[in-house]
Order: sequence, then C-alpha cells, then structure tokens
Amino acid sequence: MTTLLASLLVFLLLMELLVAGILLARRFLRPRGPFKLTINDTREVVLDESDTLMNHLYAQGVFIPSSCGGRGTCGLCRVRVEAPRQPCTPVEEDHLTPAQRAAGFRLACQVKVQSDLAIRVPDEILDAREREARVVSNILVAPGITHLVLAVPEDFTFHAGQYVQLRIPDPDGAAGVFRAYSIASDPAVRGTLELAVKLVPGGLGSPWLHARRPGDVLSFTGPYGEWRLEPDPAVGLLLVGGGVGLTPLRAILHEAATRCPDKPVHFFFGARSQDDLFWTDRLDALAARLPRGSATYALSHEPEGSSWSGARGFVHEAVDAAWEPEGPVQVFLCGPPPMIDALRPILDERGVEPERVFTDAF
Amino acid sequence: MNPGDISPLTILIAAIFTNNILLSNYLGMCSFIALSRRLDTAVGMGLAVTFVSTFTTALNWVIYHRVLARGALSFLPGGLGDRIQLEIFALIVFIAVIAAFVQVVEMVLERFSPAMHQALGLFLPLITVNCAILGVALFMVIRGYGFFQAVAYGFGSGLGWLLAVLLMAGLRRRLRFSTVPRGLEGVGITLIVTGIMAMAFMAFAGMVRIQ
Repeated sequence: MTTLLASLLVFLLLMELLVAGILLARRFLRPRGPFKLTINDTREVVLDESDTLMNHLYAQGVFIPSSCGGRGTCGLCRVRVEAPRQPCTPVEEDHLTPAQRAAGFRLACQVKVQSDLAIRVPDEILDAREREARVVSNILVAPGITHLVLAVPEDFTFHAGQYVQLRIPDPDGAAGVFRAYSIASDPAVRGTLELAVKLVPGGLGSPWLHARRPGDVLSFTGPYGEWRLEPDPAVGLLLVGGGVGLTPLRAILHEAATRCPDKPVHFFFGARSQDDLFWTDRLDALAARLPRGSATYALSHEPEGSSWSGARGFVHEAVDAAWEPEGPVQVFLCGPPPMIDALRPILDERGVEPERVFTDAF
Repeated sequence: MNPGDISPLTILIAAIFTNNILLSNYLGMCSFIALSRRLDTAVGMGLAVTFVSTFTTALNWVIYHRVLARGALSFLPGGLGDRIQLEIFALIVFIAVIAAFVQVVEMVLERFSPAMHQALGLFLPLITVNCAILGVALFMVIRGYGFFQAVAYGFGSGLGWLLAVLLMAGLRRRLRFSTVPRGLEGVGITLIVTGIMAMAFMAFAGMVRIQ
C-alpha cells in the first residue's frame, strides 16, 4: 500500500513540476500589453492582453465575418494589417491569393496581437452593428432543414446573396460564438429575414437554431458578403444550388425578378430525392415572373419508377445537359465542394470567364 | 556487444541510416505523410523534430534514470525509495515531458525569435503528438543507453527523420507529374514509395549495428 501511495505521490509531484515549469515560462515569456490597435486610421484602442486579433475586434464591437469560430478554416475574417508587416502562417496561405498576401491581408483569427498594430477593414464592417431579431416561425421544410423566419429592425437592409451571422450561446463561454447563414428572403422586403438552416448533428449552431420557437429573441450581425447581382439585363444569370445552398440563390432570384426581369435566368436546384426539395412553389412563382427564366430540379437519389418526372442525376449533369450561355453571363454556385468542383470544367468548356463565377462551398 | 559500449558516434550514424526511426520502425508516419507534400514544410518540420527529439531525449534520460528507474530514489529514508516503482509511469511521463518542453520552446521562440516562430510555429504543436519522438525515448530505455548515447540517438533519429521527409518531399514533387493509378493518389502512393524507400535503406544494414 505504501509502495502504491508513495509511487503515485512521486508521479504527481513530477507532473506538478512540469505544469509549474510551463506556468513560469508563460509568466515571464508571454508578451504583455498594453498594445495600441489602430483600425482604419480612425479608431484607436488600447489592449491590455495578448490575444488573437479576431477576439479583440469582437470585444471592440467590430464584427468581422467568420463562420468557423476562429479555427482558420473558413477564410472569411480577412483584414489588412498595415503595420507591422508579418508573413502569413501556412494556415492562411490556403485562403489568401498571392496578391492579397502581398497587400498585407491576413486572417484575423490567426493574427496574435503582440505589438502595436494598424489594420484596415471595409467601412461597412466598421458600421455593422449587432441587432436583435425575434423568431416569427421555425418550420421544417425538408429532412434536417428548417425555414427560420425572423422579424428584424426596419433599418436593416442587405443585397441579395449576402449573409448574416447569428450569435449562438457557447456552453463554455459567456460571449457565445457566431455562425454564418445566407439570407433567402427578398431584399426589397424590410423587417423580415428568412434563412434556411441545415441540421448538423453534434454541431453548435444548427441544433440550437432548430430548437428556437416563435417569440424567441436572438441577435445577429451583418450583412456581409460581396456577391452583387449584375443589373444589366443583357448579362445572363446562371444559379446552381445544392441542398441548403439554395438559400442565397432564392434572394438573388427575388432581386432579379424585381430589378431586371428581362434577364435570361437559369436556375438549377440539386437535391437527393423529392422529400429533400423545398420552397419549390416559391421558386416556380419567381421563375414565372421572369419571362426568360427557367427552373430545373435535379434529383440524385430518387428511387427508380417513382412519380418524379423532372431531371434525374446530379445537378451538374443537369446543367451540362440543358444549359448554354446566351452571351455574357454571371454565375452563382452554392453547395457542397464536389458540386462546385464538378461545375467548373462545365463552365470552362462553355467559355464562362472565371471572374464572373461566384462560389460558396460549405 | 554490450549496448553500453557502443560509441555515441556509431549510434548517431546508425540512427540516421541503418535504424532510421521512420523507415525501420515506421514511426512518425502521420506528420511525415502530411508534411512531405512540400519541400519547405518538410524542412521546417524536419528541423523542429531534430531539435525537439535531441533535447527531450536528454531530458527524458535524466528523468528516467534519476527519478523513475528502480532504485533511483534510494536516498529516501526508511527504505521507501527501494520500494517505490515508477517504471510503469515512463510512458505517461515521457509524453508529458515532451508536451511541456514543446510548449516552453514555443513561448521562447515567440518571444525572442518571431521569424523562427513564424517558420516553425505550426510544426511545434504537431510534434507533441509525433510518435517518433516518444519512440526514441522508449527505445533509449529498452536499449539501456547511457546519457551521451541517448543524446546521440535522439539527435540521429531527428536527422534520420529529416532525411527521410526531405527525400520524400523530393520524390513527391516528381510524383505530381506522373500518372498515378486512380485510388492510389496522395497517401496511397506515398505509403508505397515509403516502403520502397525503406527497402533501399536496407542496403545500409551492414554498415553499423546497434541492436
């Protein structure tokens, strides 16, 4: 017995020593503030401790977009670090083009504030405020996909294709985390936001959002995103959405139907089976308002011999079979990465200029 | 031959060529495959492994032989030191020592050499879970090395890993331009090439012998 206890004691002592060593090192080696952070030459804040730039910006009420919670996987939290210039980490290299890197762009979640720093963010982000929204309805429209309707302040405006970030309570932290969701509703309609949220089992954001009931209040920031519909009616429009990737495309259809109904608009929506299709009545109604518009639904896993009379197979196959550009065209693709990868060669083949193709893979 | 008699220089050479930790023990595979994709990351990780493996082996040798080994604590009163058995904790202690060492090194680099920290920053945390480093510490105990032998073994194993990952990064640069059968792209062909490389390294086998 004494053998066991004494052995354990020595072992624990050894571990405590290691921990003490780390804490000591941290005490003496970690750079400590205060640091001066300058944002867009206009705002100056003094920071007391070393943390990631993203956490500091959120604490200062500067809501830069981010959907991965600071893990460096979404690449949305781009900011320009003007001084001092630092090289990128390998994590950032995947998300920044060489031109962006040369211009000093970094991902805010990967920048550690350890000295005075001057950064630049788009002005609209500096203006982005956190607002409150009330849940109007929250109804499942397809397996695992809920249609969340929010009542928002009347002064909130957005462009089609933009997204908002919802604040999700974090079980570990008081501040919560942000998750990005595209807006599906008509930009012309003030005071209402419609989102589609796909349930990710074990995720942090989607299960919480699926459990919201009418009357619940949540907060959001935004709008974010650089997707802009080309208003010129001579420029055609190709929209391809896979599953819940349909969301921002519905907003673009709304805007096209309102602002430039003469545009040739081709809309493709890929899902697994008839059960997974949603909002088809709204989409058909929108397509009917566009005289040169078409809506195609492609089902990849619909059982043989079912009542489905539309296209079968993957959505990129439907695009390949049915779509030819009529002059210049603007393309929006939103869906799983394999869908987008499969569509790129099809677009290349038809001579679509890469800078006219806007993608959102998730 | 008694393992205590082998010269550290022999162990160093053997750890690089004949007993390469990666090619003969297949340890440190995950980071090897992940980081041999590019030459610059391969160099960075290789140097970091060499550095950490050398110093943690020295640290672990001292801790094992001065604390954990049977009879190391015999100075304790009442014969307690002879009854204490800590050898079974060696695995956990080694992991903890490696993790703590890496943490401290990261902080030192961050403070005094930001450029170096930028270059190695990503690789250091990866090393905490690199089984090659742990493997070196455990082999050093099993083979009964003395302090200088252990340090030479740690340094040599790091260099051996660096050599292997550099060779692989060079090979993979060529692989990128060759037609690999479908399904074998990426990790599959890398594992096969590693196997062939390990066989090629067997040509060194007669040179020196340490176990």
